Amino acid sequence: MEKLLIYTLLLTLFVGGIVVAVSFNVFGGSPSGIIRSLALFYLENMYNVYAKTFWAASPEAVNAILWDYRGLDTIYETTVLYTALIGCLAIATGLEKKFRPKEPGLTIIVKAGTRIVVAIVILVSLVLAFRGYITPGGGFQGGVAFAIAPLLLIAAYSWRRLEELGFRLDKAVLLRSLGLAAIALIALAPYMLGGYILQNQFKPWIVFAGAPYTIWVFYIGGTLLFLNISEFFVVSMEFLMIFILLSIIYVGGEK
Amino acid sequence: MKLSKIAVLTVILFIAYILLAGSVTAIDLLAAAIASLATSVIVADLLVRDVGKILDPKRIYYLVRYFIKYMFIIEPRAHIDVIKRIISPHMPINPGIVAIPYGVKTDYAILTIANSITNTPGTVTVDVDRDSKLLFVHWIDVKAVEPEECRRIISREFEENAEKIFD
Repeated sequence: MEKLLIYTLLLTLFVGGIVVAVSFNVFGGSPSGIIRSLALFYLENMYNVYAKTFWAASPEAVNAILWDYRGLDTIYETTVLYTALIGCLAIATGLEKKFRPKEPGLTIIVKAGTRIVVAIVILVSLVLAFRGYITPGGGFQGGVAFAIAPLLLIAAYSWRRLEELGFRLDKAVLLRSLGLAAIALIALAPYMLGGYILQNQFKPWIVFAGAPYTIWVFYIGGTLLFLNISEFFVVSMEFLMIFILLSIIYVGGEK
Repeated sequence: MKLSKIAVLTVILFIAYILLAGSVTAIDLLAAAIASLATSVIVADLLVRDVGKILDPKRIYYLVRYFIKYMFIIEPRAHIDVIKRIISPHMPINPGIVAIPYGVKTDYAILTIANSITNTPGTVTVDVDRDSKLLFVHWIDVKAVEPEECRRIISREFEENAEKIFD
């Protein structure tokens, strides 16, 4: 008992010491002044309705940087994940699926609870994706959140039940490809119209008029809303694919 | 049948979306409509079996009443009891697992009883047996071992409410 108390005290002192050390810049200090001016640039410009030269039409800094200021980087990241999943699919093809005759799943309490949680998870993931350019969130975050729903269903019920509900591998492959195609289209459209690739808002030195940041009464933040929705489809379906691929039991051809 | 399920669920999820977003601009209303409809289409068959029950005002009244009573009376009472056991120098505990019978039929009613037991400190539902209609509950201070007696002490109020709301 006393030993435990000493350990607890030592650990508290250790963690507390690290916190104090970090706040007093013992390990190299916080970002230098040069980087801080970068942050200031984003904060001053991303939603500056009075000087729109560098604005992104979005009050959400992370989303503005992710899709506007360094949008190409995000597209490459999306492509990396896309390609990795092609590898996963390639590994799974040629293996024979094995079906268990009966999978009882967990108790009725877990199942009933999971149903309610799944509905909430899907709704929240859509809130994250749709409102990504207004409040913290975004397509990637929403997609990852969505993927929790099929994961919970696999754990509480079974992969078979998931398939009955319409979460299927072929559908996921199709939807994620459509998502990526939509991102590519949104990225290339400004270029076709005389702007540069992935251009969001109007810039004085180039022809493209910029994506409208409001359509009728709907404030959409230029291309950001559509990029978030497309990314949501790509990421949510890719995670769904991973979970389905991992939960199917395969039988190899040879021993 | 499925359409009515989707319609009712959409309205509920629409309200939930607006509460989560905390804003009612035009784009939020549009997004909420799309998101709640999409979610309903996916989960309707999973979540709802009998639409009539959702729309029954009597059940809604009992649900709200039970929620308030559970959160503001039953929960604090259980918390105080366990706090007393924790700070008491004698550590007055007598833990064990007891079987508690239940009479409700629907999944959500069983879930309500089980989670009501688990969420109050001092008792945790560890398993359920649907064939013999028994919940197995870990109890910090076993006061009785006869199933009916345990039911009277731990879960009678939960069960009465769960039956009115969901059965």
